[in-house]
Amino acid sequence: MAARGNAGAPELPDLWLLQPGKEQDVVVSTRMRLARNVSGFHFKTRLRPGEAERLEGHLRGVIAGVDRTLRYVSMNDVSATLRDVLYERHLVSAEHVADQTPRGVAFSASGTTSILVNEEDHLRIQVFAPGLELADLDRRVNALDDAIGMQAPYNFSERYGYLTSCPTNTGTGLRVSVMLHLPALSFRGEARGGRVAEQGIVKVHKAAQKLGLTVRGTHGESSRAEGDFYQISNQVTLGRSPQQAVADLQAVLSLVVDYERNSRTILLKDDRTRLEDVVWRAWAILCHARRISSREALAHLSALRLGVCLQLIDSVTLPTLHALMVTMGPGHLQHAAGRELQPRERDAVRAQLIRETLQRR
Amino acid sequence: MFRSCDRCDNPATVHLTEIKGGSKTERHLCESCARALHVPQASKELQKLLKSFEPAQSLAQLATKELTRACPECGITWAEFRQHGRFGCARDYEIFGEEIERLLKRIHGSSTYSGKMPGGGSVEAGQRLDSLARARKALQDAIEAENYEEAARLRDEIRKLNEGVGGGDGGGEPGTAPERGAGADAGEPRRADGGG
Repeated sequence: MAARGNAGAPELPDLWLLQPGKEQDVVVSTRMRLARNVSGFHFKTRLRPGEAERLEGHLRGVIAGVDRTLRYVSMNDVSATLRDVLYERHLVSAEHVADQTPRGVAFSASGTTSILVNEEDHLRIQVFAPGLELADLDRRVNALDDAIGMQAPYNFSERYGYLTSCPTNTGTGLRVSVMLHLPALSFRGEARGGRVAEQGIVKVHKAAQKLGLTVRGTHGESSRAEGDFYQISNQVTLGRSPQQAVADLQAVLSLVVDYERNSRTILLKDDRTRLEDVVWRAWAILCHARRISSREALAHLSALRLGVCLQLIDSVTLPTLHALMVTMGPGHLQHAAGRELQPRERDAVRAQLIRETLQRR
Repeated sequence: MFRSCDRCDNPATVHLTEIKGGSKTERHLCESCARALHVPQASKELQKLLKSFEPAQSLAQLATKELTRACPECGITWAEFRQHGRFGCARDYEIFGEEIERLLKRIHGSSTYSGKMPGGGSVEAGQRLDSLARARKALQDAIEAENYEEAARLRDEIRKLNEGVGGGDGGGEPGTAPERGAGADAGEPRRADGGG
């Protein structure tokens, strides 16, 4: 499916994951989002005919008035490939890609701000940062929220706070998610009998649950943990202030980060050769494979990431690995090729991209 | 009872009842087919939670009336909400007040908002406004119950809270939210159903 002519393909934002971040050996990135609905319109599932278009137009205007530098993409005006690219950049959700309602996304050139229009709520305002970065994101997302709220009054009640389409977001409408790389905690090492490793992740799940947090795969709700990447986020949006939610998350995070680091040290001490073997085999496969799936590639990139953080390998850097994790996605591969690729073709193109990237040093 | 999806052999987890022109059709789908057909779904956890709200058999008849009560703004019923886990408009939070109160407590362990006010007001101001709304409601109750001692105490409390807010009571009704829901306020940029 080609883009419908007039819109043209918008310029893609930067790959912000290439920038350094705090605690980046374990924390890949941080995201904060606010769910908001605009007064005077029905919620998403009950929008009347024509209402979704009017709402999209209205909010597009409001967003442009708040920050003229944001680029706006109407999802129905762009190709399926471009929608996938936006998804692989975490700028839009899977639901936003699959939906057909008039909807869009405004994003910054840096790729660290995205505002979804007509997603599950009228507005999903989200900001990103590499590594662990809570204070700065909090400032940024609230500044945007306040500016938009001045132009488009939100549904709000003193009793329940911000009123959202799904009761799981009612209140602050805030979701703070931190993406973690936990290879040592999920390592099924024979040397340690496998049990120790699985318990590590189970412990993380339990600690998180006690504080009203959840642990999920990389693309959020209902996605699986692939390549040992996990997302921890707050669940409770009522009865707890955003400050408290962030503090709870921070508490669990520092525990998990220490726990992962200690487990890495133990793995290294127990059987350094085995760990090196895993890392260098991953390197060998990625440097020589002629056809590789996303899933397999991600597993090896995860091993290389661990190797880089433990200084077992210096043939590659974190920014290069982070770039590959994004650019090897089906959307990016097809966008680069300028045409639709069949899955088998994609696996070959992906293998080539990875080989060339890793051997270009 | 196990039921398989209408479109494939996977177990059906999404059950739809559509009423169109007086005739009822039922569809049973698995998660992936439902997603393919763009049927909005509640997450698994939410579905489980919503199930727990189903009335006991003996109460079923009594509950039917409640379940078919529709929001005058968006037309959604509590039964429809339970099916998808998504509200239809902000007004639902008032229309289904009791049910929502219980649901929010179950999900979040609390139903009291703590956070900023729209437009960048402080948390403290937000909480003060919330206390103010409650004190006003309590005052009304106290007057109705002819409990004048309590009413006098509440009146003083409200006066104190009002000073904290900056005197700007704005003449709001007890418990009135700044935004009462879709289309409830005058002078909005666009209205839900205004002829445009």
